[in-house]
Amino acid sequence: MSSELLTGTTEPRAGGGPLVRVTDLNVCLPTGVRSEVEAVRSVSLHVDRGERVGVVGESGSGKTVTGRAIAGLLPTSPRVRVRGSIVLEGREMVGAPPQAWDAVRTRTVGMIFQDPLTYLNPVMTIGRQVAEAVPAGRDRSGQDGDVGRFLALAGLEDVDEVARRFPHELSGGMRQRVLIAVAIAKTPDLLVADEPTTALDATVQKRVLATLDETVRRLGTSLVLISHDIAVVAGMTDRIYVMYAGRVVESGPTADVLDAPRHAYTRALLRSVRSLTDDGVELYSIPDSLRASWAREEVSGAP
Amino acid sequence: MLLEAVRACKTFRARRGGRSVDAVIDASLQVRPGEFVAIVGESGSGKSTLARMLLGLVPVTSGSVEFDGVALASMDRQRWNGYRRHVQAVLQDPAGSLNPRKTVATAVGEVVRLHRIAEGRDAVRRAVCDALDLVGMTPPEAYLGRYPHELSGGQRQRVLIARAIVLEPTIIVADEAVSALDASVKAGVLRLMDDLRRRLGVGYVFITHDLPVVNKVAEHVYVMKSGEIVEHGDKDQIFDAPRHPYTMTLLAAAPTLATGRPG
Repeated sequence: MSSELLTGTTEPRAGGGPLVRVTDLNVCLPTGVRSEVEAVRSVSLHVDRGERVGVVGESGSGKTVTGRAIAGLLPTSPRVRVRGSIVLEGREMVGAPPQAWDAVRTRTVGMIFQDPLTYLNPVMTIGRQVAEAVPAGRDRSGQDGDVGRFLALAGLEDVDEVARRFPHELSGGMRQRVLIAVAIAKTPDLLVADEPTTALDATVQKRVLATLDETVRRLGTSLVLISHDIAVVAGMTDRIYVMYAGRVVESGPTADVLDAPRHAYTRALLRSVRSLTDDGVELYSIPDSLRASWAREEVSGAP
Repeated sequence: MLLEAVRACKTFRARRGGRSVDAVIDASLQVRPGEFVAIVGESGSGKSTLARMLLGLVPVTSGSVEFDGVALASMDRQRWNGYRRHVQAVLQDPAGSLNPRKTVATAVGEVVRLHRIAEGRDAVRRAVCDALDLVGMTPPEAYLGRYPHELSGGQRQRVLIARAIVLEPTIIVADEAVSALDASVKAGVLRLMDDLRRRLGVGYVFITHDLPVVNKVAEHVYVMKSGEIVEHGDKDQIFDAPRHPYTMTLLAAAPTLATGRPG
């Protein structure tokens, strides 16, 4: 790890082809002793190097499960069934041995979660938790300096002081930045951020998003930003995937999808979002009858 | 009917050695039936503590919370019961406010029995069904036997609202009642609340950090920061011509559908 991190380049890393290509992915999760749910159905998506991709959808749409599948963080129970293909840096990961995933999790993909308190160790200082994320085998000699650098990259000030603190001594926004620091400490090729600001207030959310934006730009990392809040994704991504009931119902450049949505669900979703923000529009919630009809027509597949 | 906080303060005393926290400082606020009053501010600004003071769940340190001119602290049993019926709460986390082992019928029915809204099994059931019908859970019979885990987030929130309105309250204190919901569900619950206001004359104290929602439904807005109400006024005045710098920061932070990168 050298100091080029801080000066950084905005160029995406070298190498052709998509960093991640997911094809026809299906994930079944157990919900009870005998029941299971098809959380993700025939999802195909790709992320190019240096690209920012958004995944939006409401609770239960399968966006989190998709993100976890890419990061190799699905539950390991034999009842979790994954079919289809996930190719990471040219390597097929579905059916790959667990050791292959270890390498991916330590080097290739970093993940940022919604609730930092669950993922930070309450009895370990921030500094140690960031240092732990630096992969073994990489130069750890100047580690203290690195920890400070990653914390600074994640937008924290007074990094030496922060490194000595415990998670409960930090505010919610600071914890979320620590999680960003932990995720980038392995300088991953891809960051998967699952609802990274949902638990935060509007003012803090804005600052954390700006930090994420800046960090990703400096490191040239690809980003998958998952959120139920289409406004969060709108300002941060180049392309967007809209998910409904486990399927990708629409995808395309973010601006195009927001300006001219093609799928009925995307239109309804945008209408309800706009009805919450725009003046003089009556509040709109998607009627159950529409949902039932989408469920029946088995959604006409991803474009 | 009037629920008001009069220069209410709340200081949380620290245990040995720690510093005490002034969670709410000198807060004055009024709400009447049929009004939609919002309290906005970041987490830690004291808005939830103020809500709990209005609900009588947190005693004031100084000042008072008054219902129809009578301070909560000085109410006799009869007045207190009347207040508890007239002022109801809908809290943020519907899963945490519903007993996982009680069906919808039991959860709503028990408050009906407790406040003697209706007596006898059939009458209670009818009252419960009417309330579920009002919040748009139709047909109500389909939901009576369900447990919280068999409901979606929006449906749970509706059960909580049903449980509040079955008592025919005059004022509902809603603490982040829609914050955890998806946009479409959120719009649905808000429309329901507005509908109840128009039809039954329910007044709301609506606590949230979601400013677009406030702009959409509130009439009167209080802005809190570090325990103090820094600005209050009509919704239009707060949104069009905010006076306090903190209000301006808050307004500028609301996310929009613009596709530009954050600045």
